[in-house]
Amino acid sequence: MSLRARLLLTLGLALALFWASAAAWLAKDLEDKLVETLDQRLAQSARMVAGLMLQLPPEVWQQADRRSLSIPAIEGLACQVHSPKGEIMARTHSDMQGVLDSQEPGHAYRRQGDVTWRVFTYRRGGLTITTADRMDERNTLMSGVLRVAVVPFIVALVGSLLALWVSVWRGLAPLARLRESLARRDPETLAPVTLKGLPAELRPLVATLNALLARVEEAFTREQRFTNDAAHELRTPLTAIKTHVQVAKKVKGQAAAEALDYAEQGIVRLNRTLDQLLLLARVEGRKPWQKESCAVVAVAESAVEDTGQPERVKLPDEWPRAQLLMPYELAVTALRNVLDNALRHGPPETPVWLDARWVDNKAADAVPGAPGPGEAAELAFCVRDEGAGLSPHGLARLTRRFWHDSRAGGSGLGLAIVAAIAERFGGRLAFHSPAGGGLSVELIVPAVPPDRG
Amino acid sequence: MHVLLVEDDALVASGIRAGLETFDFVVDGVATIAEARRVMASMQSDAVILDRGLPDGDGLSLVEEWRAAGVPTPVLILTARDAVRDRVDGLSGGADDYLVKPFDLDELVARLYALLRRAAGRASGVLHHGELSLDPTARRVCVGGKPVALSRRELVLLEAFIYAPRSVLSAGQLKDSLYGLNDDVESNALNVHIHHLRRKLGSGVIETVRGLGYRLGRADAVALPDAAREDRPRGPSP
Repeated sequence: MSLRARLLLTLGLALALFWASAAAWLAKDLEDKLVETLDQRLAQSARMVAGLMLQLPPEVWQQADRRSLSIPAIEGLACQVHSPKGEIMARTHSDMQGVLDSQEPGHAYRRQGDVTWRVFTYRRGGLTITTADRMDERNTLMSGVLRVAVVPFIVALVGSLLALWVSVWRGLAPLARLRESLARRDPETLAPVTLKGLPAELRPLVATLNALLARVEEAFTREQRFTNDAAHELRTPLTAIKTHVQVAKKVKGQAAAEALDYAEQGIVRLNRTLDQLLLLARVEGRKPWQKESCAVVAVAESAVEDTGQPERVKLPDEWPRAQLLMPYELAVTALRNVLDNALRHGPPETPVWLDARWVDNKAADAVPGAPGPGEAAELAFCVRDEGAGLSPHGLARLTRRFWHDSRAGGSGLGLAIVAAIAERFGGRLAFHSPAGGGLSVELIVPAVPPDRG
Repeated sequence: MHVLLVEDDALVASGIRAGLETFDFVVDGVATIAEARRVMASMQSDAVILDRGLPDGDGLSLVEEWRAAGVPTPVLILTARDAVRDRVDGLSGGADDYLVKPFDLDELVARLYALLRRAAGRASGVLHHGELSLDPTARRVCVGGKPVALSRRELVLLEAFIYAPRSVLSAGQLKDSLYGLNDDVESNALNVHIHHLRRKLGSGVIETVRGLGYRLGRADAVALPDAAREDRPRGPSP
């Protein structure tokens, strides 16, 4: 059920109900008061007749004995006077014996023919006076009064229902406009909904919707760029493979073998890019990792071994005794990517320096030392190469996906993966490129000292 | 035909180079916009194959630069991005054709020849000059329907003349067509190749324009000398 229909129905029903009960109450009150007033008037006239009759000298009664006094009749009102002996002394209508006959004192209804009468009987000084009103006269009067009283109520009720309908319709118009403008939108567009002409109640809602749309658009753009970049990174080695294979088919002997060698290099590169992409997708996915930890020494040794050029990596004399708070495989992958990057960008045969140390978070303590047992801290792997280093501009783009120096090779994903892994476990990456050349990369990850015993 | 290849990925560049060389193209490869600009200024290329994503910028800016400077050399853009907008941008930026990676080597060659043909104002794929016909993709030369055996360099040289039938080509231009930047060229190599062509296709096939260079001879000058007829590959003996 629409908001408008619900509002109209509840408010309309409530209004009709209240106005109708007020009207009914009023009508009932009016009727009671009217009956009471008319009854009083009937009684009053009876008393008035009695007073008049008693003020006459008794001789008048004697003279008038056996001769009914005739009073000119009034339409709708009848009166009859009985002597103490029960004789009719005076009457307005001679044909209303049944109605006007002596009765118990007080009010009563009596019927003659088709007409109902309201009768009042009064005794005073031996006289019995009966007065009567025609009920249809009374009813006509009553309905006239009711009409005058109830019609304004009905007019007011209809008026308020109309006002209700108009105000609900106008009040909900901004909602209807919003609905229409949303329905008219191209489902593909993520442009914000206009806030112009919206009431204050709807503004926060639409603002939230717009913020959501903006976030969706941003994510969409990022995904699109990533897909484009990924396509580029996958197509380039694929192109190399394809052209070299085609060359191998056209030539013979040594040239063909050479072309196939190149094709294989392309396959290795494609494979590495795919692995990296999948790893990045796994790290960035919502899959929760268990609480795992691993020893610094084990991680460093595996990572150095995995680079394939362990002889170029210079290790420290001693490793800090620490447990990294992350899964072993991911720690190795991250450190190996940093080492690979350094090995690739440093000149061939030059060493790459690897070190690990506690990061000092307490500025007052000048000498970085091992934290107390169980104390949360951070450990930094520091990897330094002897390459050309990078400009501040290059440093800023280091963890951007697919940003790479084409001649040094690489997928352009390595450091992006390291950054993604570090962020996932509350760590970070830091870069320095001193003026003298070389690039130093710090992989900072949460760690704790090993448990005693 | 001399092709300048601008591609920063060494593995892709070596593949394209090896592939084009099987079709007798002379390929010079560079990896950056700056190098491409320098090579383009110093020698005559018949076509350019240009990658868009280069380390020092978008290759498309180079095409725009060349077109603004009036360089007419046909340019074929290579790219790994296949969005329609990328393609439209490439073509409206002054490039003559567009190929998405990974491509087929034969397609690349076919497109290159189509570009060269259009640049020379020719409609047909097989080039004719009198009785002489040259099929660039099949690497075959025939006179009067009979195939003539030519060496790789001779064929490339003939190709250069046939693609520019009314022009006088200087020795420098011809050497650019025949050799890459890094090839060692002996001083009389060009004369030797021209001499061989005249011997195989008739002495009038290439005319010497004294002091300027050489040009393609009249169409009726093409003839199969007796010597060439004897050299002609024979069918199996009955």
